[in-house]
This record gives sequence, C-alpha cells and structure tokens, in this order.
Amino acid sequence: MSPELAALAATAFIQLAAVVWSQRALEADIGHDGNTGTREHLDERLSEHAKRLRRALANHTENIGLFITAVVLVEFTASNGWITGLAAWVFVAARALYLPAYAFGWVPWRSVIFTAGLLSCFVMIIASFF
Amino acid sequence: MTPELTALILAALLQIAQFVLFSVLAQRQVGRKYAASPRDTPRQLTGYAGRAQRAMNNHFEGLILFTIAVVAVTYADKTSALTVLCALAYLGARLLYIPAYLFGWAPWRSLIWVVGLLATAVMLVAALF
Repeated sequence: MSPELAALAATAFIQLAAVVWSQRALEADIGHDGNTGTREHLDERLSEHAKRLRRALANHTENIGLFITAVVLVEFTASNGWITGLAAWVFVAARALYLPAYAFGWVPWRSVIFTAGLLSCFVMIIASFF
Repeated sequence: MTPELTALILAALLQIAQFVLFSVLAQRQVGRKYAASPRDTPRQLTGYAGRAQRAMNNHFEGLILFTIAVVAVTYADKTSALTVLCALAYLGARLLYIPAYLFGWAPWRSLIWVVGLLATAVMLVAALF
C-alpha cells in the first residue's frame, strides 16, 4: 500500500474518531434517548462543546471528499513521490489536530490547521498533472 | 491520463477556487476574527457571501458523486467518447453554476445543476455496461 493510500485509511479513522467524540458530547447533553430520537430542535438542546464538535465533524466530512479525489488522482496517474506522500500525511496530521483545535477554541490555529490540510490536497492534485 | 481524470482534476481545483471565493466574501462580511473563532454564535451569511457558501456546499455534494463516476469508468475500463463528453459537460456545468448562483440566474441555475447530475448519472450507467 502506498503512503497516500495509507493516509486515506488513517483519515477514515479520524472521521470515526470525530463521530465518536461528537456523539459522546451529544449524549452527554441530551442522553441516549435524545440521540436515538428524531432530534427535533436539536441546536437549542446542545451545549457549545457538542455544537463545536458537530461543526468539526461536518467540516471533516467536506474535506475528506476532496482528499479522496486527490488520492485517487495521484494513484491513477501514478504520480506518487515523496511530495505526494508528505502532503498526504500532512493532511492526516492537520485533520487530526483540527478536532481539538475546534473543541478547545484554538484561535487562530484552527484556521491555520485547516489551511494546511487544504493546501496538502492542492499539492497532491497539482502533482497528479505531472 | 484519461480525459475523465483531467476533468476530475479540474473539478477538484475548481472546488478549491470556490473555497477561496467563499472565504474571501465571507470574511469581508463577518470579519477575520469571527471566522477564526469557534463560531459559537451562528451567523447567517447573506448576499454574495451566502450564495458563494451555498454554491460551494452544493459542489461538495456533486463532486463526491462525480469522483465515484470517474473512478468507476476508469477502473472498469469503460471510457468512451460518451463518458468524455459527460465529464466535460459536468465540468462546464459546475463552472457555470457559480455565476448562476452568485447572480441569481433563475431558473438556469437549477437547469445547470441538472446537467451536472445527468452527466454523472450517464457515466455511472456507462460503467455498468
């Protein structure tokens, strides 16, 4: 398995961690019944902490799509190299840090971390041209 | 590299460009400080910033399906003139979708969106046969 594909697998585990963390925060606020219920007026019943984690999860879901695209392009065009491997793992590190950065309000580092992840995708997509 | 993969690269780059556009417009509206904060008090973006945000979110949805379609036709070795045409149609539609949203071209925005979805659907069906 190439480093890029390994990074993709790691990203899926970060997604899992984001789901578990945000779910735990959600259940701490509205309980198990509230979680399995139909979640009417959810926003009014959640704490700031839970809502931050839900926004972090939503952001991760968006960016994982772009990263999948980048990995697929690198693999299909056989553009793998140290740059794409490095970029892929920078993405993993950035997305792993993004969760605590959102949950604990690291300003402006959350934005810096996000940008690092986005730039990594950008580098990989550009690399697949060559 | 197949033309479909080239279209996928350009579509992904387009999404990054859409993010930049959204980010600039949104920060002009709510300020850099709010954007970097954990946004505990939600703020609804209005005007061009809100439109750019909705256009970007819509492309996140469309891009995932298009990625599946390109991966499927490429892996299954089912690329043809039709799938190339579809990939180009998708790219063209998603490009036009941005001004269509920003400048409120109704009902053209919806029609442009349908073109993108149909192009993706045709590629997915083509991958089956």
